[in-house]
Amino acid sequence: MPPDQEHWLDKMPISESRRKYLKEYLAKIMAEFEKKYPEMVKRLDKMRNIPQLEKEATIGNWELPFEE
Amino acid sequence: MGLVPFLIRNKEVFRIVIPAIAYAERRYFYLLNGDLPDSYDKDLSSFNAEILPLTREQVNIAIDLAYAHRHELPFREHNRDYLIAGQCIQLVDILITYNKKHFEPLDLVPTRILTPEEFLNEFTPMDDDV
Repeated sequence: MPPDQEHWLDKMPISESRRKYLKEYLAKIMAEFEKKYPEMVKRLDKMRNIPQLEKEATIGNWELPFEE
Repeated sequence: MGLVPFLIRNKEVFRIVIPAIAYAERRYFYLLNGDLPDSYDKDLSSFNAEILPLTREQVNIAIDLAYAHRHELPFREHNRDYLIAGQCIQLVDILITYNKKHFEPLDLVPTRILTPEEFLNEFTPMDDDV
């Protein structure tokens, strides 16, 4: 299981048994996903750079011709 | 990244829709990342995601929201959120987003707002046989 998944699960206010189950469940579906969709996994990994991408995204900074 | 595998696995359980604005943003990121534009549509099709076209009525809802919340969430900076909200309030049961702080003040009832983690926790069954 990737470290980021451990991170959010460890922070969640849930029972230990539920946490354990979710970790195991997500590890299994992730393994299945990586095997079946390797190209999508690579693309989604790159999406982790979105904060940097967003700085370049003009769509996030529409200029309007008036002051609010 | 757990959300996408979960949605693929449960694509027959949930109807997954992508607001037009969110689709535009993500498609632009794919392009910036050097991925072929068609890759995005291919990825979305893996969990049967539909794109929600933006209607005049939804835009009008968005603008009403924007006016009502103009002091705390100015339209200049939050126009995309308002347009997404206008679609969600009309058509979406659950909005999955990390941007809860900008959607929760809009009071989008009956739409619920969950982070991907909250969604996974709520909808992952205790006895799913993987």
